[in-house]
Order: sequence, then structure tokens, then C-alpha cells
Amino acid sequence: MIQQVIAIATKDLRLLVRDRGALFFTVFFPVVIAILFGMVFGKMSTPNPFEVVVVVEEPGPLANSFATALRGDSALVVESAPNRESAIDAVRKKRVAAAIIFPVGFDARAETIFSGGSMPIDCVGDPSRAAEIGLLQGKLMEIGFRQLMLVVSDRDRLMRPMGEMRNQIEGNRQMSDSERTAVLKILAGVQELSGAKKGEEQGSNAIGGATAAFEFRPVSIRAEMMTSGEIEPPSSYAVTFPQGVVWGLAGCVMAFVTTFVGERAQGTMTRLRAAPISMQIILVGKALGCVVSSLVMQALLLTLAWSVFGVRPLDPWTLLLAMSIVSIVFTALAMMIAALFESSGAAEGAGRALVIVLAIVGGGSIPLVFMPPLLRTISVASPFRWAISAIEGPLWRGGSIAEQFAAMGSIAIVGVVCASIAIVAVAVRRRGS
Amino acid sequence: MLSLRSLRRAYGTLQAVDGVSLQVGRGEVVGLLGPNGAGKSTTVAMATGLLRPDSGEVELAGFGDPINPHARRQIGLAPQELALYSGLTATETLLFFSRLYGVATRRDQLRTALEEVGLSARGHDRVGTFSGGMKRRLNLAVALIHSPSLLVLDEPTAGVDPQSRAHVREIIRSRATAGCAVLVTTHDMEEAEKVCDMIAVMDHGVILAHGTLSQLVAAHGSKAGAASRGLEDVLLNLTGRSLRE
Ligand SMILES: Nc1ncnc2c1ncn2[C@@H]1O[C@H](COP(=O)(O)OP(=O)(O)O)[C@@H](O)[C@H]1O
Ligand SMILES: [Mg+2]
Repeated sequence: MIQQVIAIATKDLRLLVRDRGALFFTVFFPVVIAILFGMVFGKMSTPNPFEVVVVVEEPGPLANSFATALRGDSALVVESAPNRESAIDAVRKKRVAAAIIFPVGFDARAETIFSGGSMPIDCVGDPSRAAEIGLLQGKLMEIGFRQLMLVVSDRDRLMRPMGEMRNQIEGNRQMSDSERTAVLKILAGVQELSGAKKGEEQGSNAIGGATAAFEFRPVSIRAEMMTSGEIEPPSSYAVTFPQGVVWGLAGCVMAFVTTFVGERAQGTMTRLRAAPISMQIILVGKALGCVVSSLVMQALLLTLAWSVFGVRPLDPWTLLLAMSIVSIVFTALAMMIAALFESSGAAEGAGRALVIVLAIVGGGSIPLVFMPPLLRTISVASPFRWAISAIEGPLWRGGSIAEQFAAMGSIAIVGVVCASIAIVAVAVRRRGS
Repeated sequence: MLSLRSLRRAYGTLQAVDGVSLQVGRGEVVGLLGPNGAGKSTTVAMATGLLRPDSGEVELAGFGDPINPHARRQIGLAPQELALYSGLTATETLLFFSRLYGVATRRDQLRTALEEVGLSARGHDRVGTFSGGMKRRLNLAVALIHSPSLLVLDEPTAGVDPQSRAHVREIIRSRATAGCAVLVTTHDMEEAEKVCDMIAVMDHGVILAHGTLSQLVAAHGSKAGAASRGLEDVLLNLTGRSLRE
């Protein structure tokens, strides 16, 4: 029994390897897709212009001018958002690298800048662009200093806090006399400077001295990182090799259907049925061939991804388990297609079309991780999508054992459904004949 | 060895086989002779367990109904339609089918089998490159590879050159001499005359006459006066002259 099963599987694999067309679709095409798309997507994810979204929660002259200064910066692409929530959402969806929020009370606090206040800014960033966000914070500081000039240059605005400050300093008993004198001197300098600013651009040295003396930070940034909740693939190839697997599986399914239809067309099915083996043995033998070919194809693709493109599986053994389950499930799918569409050449064509549509919808054209929400919803109907989910976990996504087994369980359920449909289709046909 | 009893089988409203009974003994070559569409292949399918009769019985002495896999081990079938994988070589083809029959075939046995059908020089060539005659011979070699005790050959010489045809007949005779029971179908009178011990003339699903060549000619040949043309006369007298499928 085992001997016959192996004989049939070996025969089918030998025929597959010798069939250039089948080999093209099961191996060559998937590899080309994986590499080509990997290169294209790799280009796409190279740092694009640093996009930020700006929210002014409470418009005021200082907040507005700060935002305008930000917009004028050539290194940034700045868009506006109506409120904090939509700005943070843009970060979460990775439309922008960071959200910069001028919170309620920005102007009020900016005005107390010489009495211990500072310009408050909330910065919510995408952790995958942490380095750039560090630079962004430096930039906010720099703009903050420039904005300070605005505060300073407005004599009326300045004089109000200056007056208060002078009173506070003079009344401060904890300060030593020398300290008090030094600070009052600086204050006088600032007052003097702002007077000069009104007339012409002078005295910038004086403010440099003043800030140095205070270690003055005009901007206080409250930074926060917002993960999208989605784990990023380590490289574009981690996405495109599973995408290649989709096409490889489609190739294996079609190759299986072809061998099945071929047995009838060549008359060899008569020979198989005349042999001292049951129909079940014939089916199991052919199924084994399909399982082995899909497993070898997946192993080939993912080994190539590992060795040449550096996609190192997080958990090779679980990956092997997932690949095995996927192979069995797609064999069930192949049997379903063969059972539903084997009756004629035209039906076989319809079966092929169905496989291709399922492959496209299930992540063959646009990888699952890049799919827009609508397509992602539709993809649920495709077994290919579930195969990718099961493979991606141990390949790069990670996640708990429970999550990974849930993914494998889902694809296994797909397999059971396909096998059931195949069995029912065969039973219905038998009754009909 | 093989006995068919009142086999009937219909395809829809067409009664393809309508009560066929036939015996094939060890070392005996029985020919099922009839025009196209007579029901020969349908009879063969039932005799080899490929098709379940609507009624009637098939029995393989000592092994029962060939609808059971273990009984089919005794049968070597060469289907009317060539049944070969064009992607395999001749040797691989024989090896594959012998494995299906659970026979461990050694290299020298494979070589002998290829020699028997005159293909020893082409053992490592793909079947797809073979001529019609060579494919026919390989089709026969597959039926022989597991040394069956019953050979069922459905039009084994259809569409082949005279050399191949003569070769196939030799093989049939030598297997029968070795004790094999042979059921061979044909619409070729010459073949039936040359290779069969017993001939059953079949048409429209029924056996019209049954016996040795001389018995048939005596019973159904042309009456005195006309030049006897042997079996051809018998066939035309029995089945009429209207054209068939
Ligand atoms: N699978 C089938 N479905 C319907 N009709 C068939 C089928 N196989 C054979 N027939 C018909 O049954 C009759 C007998 O066919 P067959 O046994 O192949 O005859 P033979 O082998 O003597 O030429 C023919 O009329 C043929 O058309
Ligand atoms: Mg026939």
C-alpha cells in the first residue's frame, strides 16, 4: 500500500520536474516575483521626505507663528490636522513620521518664558523613525529660539513679565546678593536689547550671552512614541517571498489538477484503476506528490530568502510546521478544484481561473501587509491569505504560540472545508453516473 | 480461469452489452471479434473490474470478482486507448506499473521485458518520442510486467505496422503456451484467425456465435457455390453489411 502510494507520488513528481511549463509556474515564476517585488518594495520604503502633521489646538499669535516657521522648513513636509486625535491617527497609520501638537495654553505659557515658563510642544512619533524624530526635536528647539526673538522684540509683551520678574527677583530672599545683581543685570540687558530690536537688527550677541548664562530652554517637548500596533517586516523580501509562495502554491495546485486531468486524457487512469489498488490509494498517492511539491517549493523559496536575502526565520521549526500544514491544505484545495472542474478541458480552464483569482485576492499581487482595508477584508475569502498568515508568524512577525497556532488552525480549517467540498462533489457525481 | 456470466451493461438507453457469457481457460486464447461499437471494450472493462455490470457475474478462478483489488493482481490489461505517460522513459514506465502491482522488478527483468517487445534499444528514451507501433508494444509490455495469469488485450494491434503486429501475435501465443489465459478483442479477422483458439463473434452487445475457426466457418460460412473467404464471410453473414461507428 505504502509502496504504491510512493510509486504514484514519485511518478507525478518526476513528470512535474520534466514538464517545463509546470516547473516554470511552480518554481521559476515565484522566485522572480519574490526578487522583483522585493527590489521594488525595497526602493519604496527608503526614507521618503520627512513628513509631519501639525496641530494648533488653540490658535494664538505665538503658536501660529511657530507653526508657520515649521512649515517654512525645507527639510520637512508639513501638513495640518484639525485635532490631536486625527494627527496621532496619521502617525499610527504611518502616513506621517510624527505629529507636532501645540497644546491649549501654548501662547499663555510662552509669555511666561522669562519667569520659568516655556513653550510646550507635544511630539508623537513613529518609533521606526526614531533617529529622524531626534533631529526633529533639535529643530523644534532651534525654531523655539528664533520664536523667542519674537517675544523679545515685542516690547509691550516683554515688559509685562519683565516687570513681574524684576519684582520677584528683588523680593527673593533665598537669592544671594551677587546672584540677584547678576540676574537683574541680564534682565536689564534683555530690556535694552528689545529696545534696540525695535529700531534695527543689533544686539544678537547680547541675547546669546543671556541664554548661555541661564542654560535656557525655550521649548519643552513632551515626546511620545506611537507604535502602529503592526510589526514591521524586517525587509521587503520578508514580504515578497511569502508573496512568491502564493504563486508557487498556485502553480502546485494547477500542476496537480493537470496531472489529474492528464490521467484521464492519456487513458492512464484506466491503468491505475485496473491495478490491484483502491481508488483511495490512487488519490493518496497523487495527493502525496502534491504535498511534497508544495513543501519543496516553499522550502526552496524561503531558503533562498534566508541565504541570499537575509530573511532569517524567527522560528524555523514552527515555520516548517506551518509550511507542512499549508502544503496539505493546498493539496486539499487542489483536490477540490480537480473534483469540481475535472470533467472537461473547459472546466479545467475555469478551475485555473479560480486559482489565479484566489491567489491575486489572497496576497499574490499586493502583499497582505500593504493591502488597503477593503481588499484586506475581501482577502479573507482566499485560502492563500490564510497560508501567508500562517507562514509570516514564524518567519518574521513573531507573536505568541497561541497566535501562531490560531493562524495555523485557520488555514487547517480552510483545508477541511476544501476536502469536504471535494468529497461531496465526488459523491454527487458518483450518484449522478 | 475467467468466466463471464450473462453480463449486461447499459449507457443511458443504449444497451452496450446485453447478456454476454464467455469462458477463458488456462493456456487458451479467446478472441472477441466484432465491428466497432459491438460492446467489446465494455465487456473487457467489466471483465477487468473497471466497470460494474448492471447484472451478471465476473469470476476469476480462485480469486473472485475483479472488482476487488486483490483479484486484479492476476490480470494484465492492455487498454484499447494507449495508456502511457509520455514524460517517462520505457524503463520508468515498466518500473512504475510493476510497483503498482507490488512486484519488485530487477534491472535484468526490465531488460528482458523490453526485449520481449523489441524495445531494448529504446529503454531510456521518453515514451513521447516513440512511434505508434512502439507505444503499442510498450502498452503490451506493461500488461505483461507482473506476469499475470490472465491477459486481457483490447485491440492490441490497432493501427500498427505489419512487423509490430506479427510481433505482438508471437507474444500472445508464447504467453498462452506458458499457461496464461488470454482474452483478446479485435475487429480484424486475420488476427482472430491467426492467434485465437476460440472465437466469439459479437455485435450489438450479444455474442452471435462461438467456437473454433473451423466450427464457425462450417456453421456460418458462405454456402456452397460462393468461394469461401473464411472468417470474413462468417462475420459479414452474422453481422450484416451496414456501416458502423
Ligand atoms: N462511456 C460511455 N458512455 C456512453 N456510451 C458508451 C460509452 N462507452 C461506450 N459506449 C457505447 O457503447 C457501445 C459499445 O461500445 P464499446 O464497448 O466501446 O464497443 P467496441 O469496443 O466493440 O467498439 C457503443 O455504441 C459506444 O458508443
Ligand atoms: Mg473497443
